[in-house]
Amino acid sequence: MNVLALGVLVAGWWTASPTAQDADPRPARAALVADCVGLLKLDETGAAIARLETQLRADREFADGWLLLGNALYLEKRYGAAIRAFEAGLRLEPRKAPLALSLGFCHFELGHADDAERFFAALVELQPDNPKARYGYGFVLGKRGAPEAIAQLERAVQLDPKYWRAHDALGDVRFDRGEFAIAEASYREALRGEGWRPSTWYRLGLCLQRQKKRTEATQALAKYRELNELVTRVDGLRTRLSAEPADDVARAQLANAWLDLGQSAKAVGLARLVLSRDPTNAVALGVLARADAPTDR
Amino acid sequence: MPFAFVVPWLCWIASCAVAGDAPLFVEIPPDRSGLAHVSVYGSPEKDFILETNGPGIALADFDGDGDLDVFCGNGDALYGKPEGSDVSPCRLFRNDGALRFVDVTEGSGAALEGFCNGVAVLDVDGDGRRDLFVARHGHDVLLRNVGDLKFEDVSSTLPGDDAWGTSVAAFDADGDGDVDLYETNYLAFDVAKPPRHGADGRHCTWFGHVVMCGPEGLRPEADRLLRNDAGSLVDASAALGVATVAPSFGLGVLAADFDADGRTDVYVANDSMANFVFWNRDGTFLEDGLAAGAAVSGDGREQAGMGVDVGDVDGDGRLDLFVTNFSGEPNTLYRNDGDGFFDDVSFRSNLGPASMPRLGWGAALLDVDRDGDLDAFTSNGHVYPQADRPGTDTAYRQPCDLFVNTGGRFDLAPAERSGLGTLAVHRAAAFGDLDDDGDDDVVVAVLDGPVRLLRNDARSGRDDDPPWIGYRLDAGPGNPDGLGATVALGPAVRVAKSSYSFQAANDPRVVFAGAALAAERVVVRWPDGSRESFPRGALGTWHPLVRGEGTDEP
Repeated sequence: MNVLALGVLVAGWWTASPTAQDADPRPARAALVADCVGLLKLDETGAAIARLETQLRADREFADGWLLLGNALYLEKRYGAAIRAFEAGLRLEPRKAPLALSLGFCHFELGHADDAERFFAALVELQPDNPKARYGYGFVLGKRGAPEAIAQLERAVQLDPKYWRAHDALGDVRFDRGEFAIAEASYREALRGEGWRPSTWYRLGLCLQRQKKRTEATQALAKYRELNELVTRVDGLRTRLSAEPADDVARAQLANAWLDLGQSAKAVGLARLVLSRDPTNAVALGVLARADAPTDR
Repeated sequence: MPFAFVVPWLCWIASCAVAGDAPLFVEIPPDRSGLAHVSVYGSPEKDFILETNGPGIALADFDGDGDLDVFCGNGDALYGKPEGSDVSPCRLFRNDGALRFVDVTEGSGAALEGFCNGVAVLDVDGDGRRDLFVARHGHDVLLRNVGDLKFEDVSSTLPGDDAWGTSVAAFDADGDGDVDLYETNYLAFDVAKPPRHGADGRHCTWFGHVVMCGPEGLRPEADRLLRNDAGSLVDASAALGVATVAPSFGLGVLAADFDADGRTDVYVANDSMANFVFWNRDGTFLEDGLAAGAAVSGDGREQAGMGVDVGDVDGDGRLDLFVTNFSGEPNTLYRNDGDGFFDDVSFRSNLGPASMPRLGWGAALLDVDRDGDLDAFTSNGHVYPQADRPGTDTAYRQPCDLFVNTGGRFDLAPAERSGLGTLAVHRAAAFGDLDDDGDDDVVVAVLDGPVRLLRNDARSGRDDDPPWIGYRLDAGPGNPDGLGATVALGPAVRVAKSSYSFQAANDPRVVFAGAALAAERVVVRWPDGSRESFPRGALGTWHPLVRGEGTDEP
């Protein structure tokens, strides 16, 4: 799974989790969570990890802290470390769905397909009406070529028709079965909500190729190339920022790239951060102008 | 199915349980094999990307005595070398049979120096002897075989190119009967001003560790196609359509007829960039890998391709593609669906997941256990010594891996079964039946370490050894190994190919085992598309298949 895509996914889980900020009675924890979510939204994963690790050394019973740390480590592709964080969280709250979901994806990224499948299957049993659980299970089953993937993914989109990633995964499974017309419909549905995802455009392009719709295929693959270049640029800048957190030149470029990808909230946040330190940064100002956002520095 | 075949094969099937316990590969140490060569490829710190890829290996019958001799490349010590090591030149070893090799480098003309990377074996001048092309960082080398394991350096006849050559594929690009070369080039690297972290605004980190810079941020170099014009290699990249693509970080290349139209196509694995599929259209090439589904992973990710191989892994008669990649990426298996389409089945075939922590170089689809289907072998080792630090989910030294094919599903063989548990910084791997016992042995380069010889014991002289049959192809003057020919025995299809894996030249002979042995005739489609059939021949030995000596097939 594309890290960029998962980043959005993780952020989605986080904001959807009612326990993350409301149920924790300790204000210090809540404040830390809020700060770190803010850091992650600004691609400051290194800073978030450092803060969380410091806190968790003193407060090991903080399940949401482990979840957030795991998510930050995941974004850095440090899957082994992320697994350890998620497992620490699960020991505290064994029924916490986001922990199990994230753990499943970590195992998948490390090639532990059996473990991933096991986590998702358990989660579906625990929360059969959780679309994310259905998606995770269907995603892994689909990757492994198991026909049961379709039922899981169809259930996910039934539970949440705007679950674009599940539509996308459903397209993949249909594609793999040679059902190209149905796959095309799934990909087009996914792109209706997340038109910035290069992987979906790529699969749509292949799908159209197989159906000999050459002109449309060429257009889809051209869109893939365009978006893939942007995503590659984002990944490169994020890596650079991870190594050099003070590099505001890279941060402004990252804001620009996010905006090109249509992620204006993220772009504006980064641009504002840059402008708070360098009020004349032309790239950041350009981002705000393009995003039509107020420059309320 | 002929009775004479059925009985031994059924006996073998019945005895598999016993034979199946022994390790498939056994390492033969240099003091027993004589294959003693230690590579030095720059400093142990690997501060620069030039020091990381390792040398090439060629297995070929250079002296025409029927067995495979070995050429081992080497590197240089531009920025230092491991303590106590000496930089020896490239070495040539004569095969004296029974896995005994004699170093015949001295006076052979093969004692090359510098960073000797990819190798290709071809008969450039059509004299029936196998010549050797060596891709280097800097000017490449062409060694003309003058007989008796002696070579004449005719590099001055090559078109000028100071790029960083990596792998080289020998094949008949233009269908004129002789063998041409496709050379992948990597990136621009100035030894006088090597890129380093912190200089020129470069940020070269990986999991927070400072590492050598590249390939990202460095300038990729264009590949080239060298056409054989009556014994001279000329740069025909533009004329044949190869120069139409943007320069990329080329590392692996092979040639085969993917769409079965009678013309040999080319596949290029690029590092961190989209791979190429060059369709051969009447001798000129058109790149369309993205639409073919083999340029990037199934989910559209550009991967760091290193080694490549091609073979029919699912027995449908079509040639599938196998690519080794960087750590954190699965090795990729592209299933050939026909009509010019490939589908990434790395996870569905189970080849992908277990390879995630590996950084793969050498790649081969070969029937290691001689059960009739193609297994997958990879040689692995990281580029960053920093891979051993915490949090990377990988390691610098890695084992080679064997994925055993059972009905289209690939399972990683445990080390006790594969015999491949030894950790090393493996690089290029070359494959061939060095002891002519009917199974494929492996020679693996180790970065800054001794080359490893792995004997395949799938056949080891037991009564219950799996049956096999092998063929040496000869497509006539200019192509004495029949490179690019497709050979079918019953439903099984094999390709006569020397250039695959990573920076390697391999045994070009083809071998069949398993159910295919029931067929009575073997059918060859030569590189120009013409077809001939031949009687299958007796099991358990090699047979020549010479173009023009068979029966024409429609």
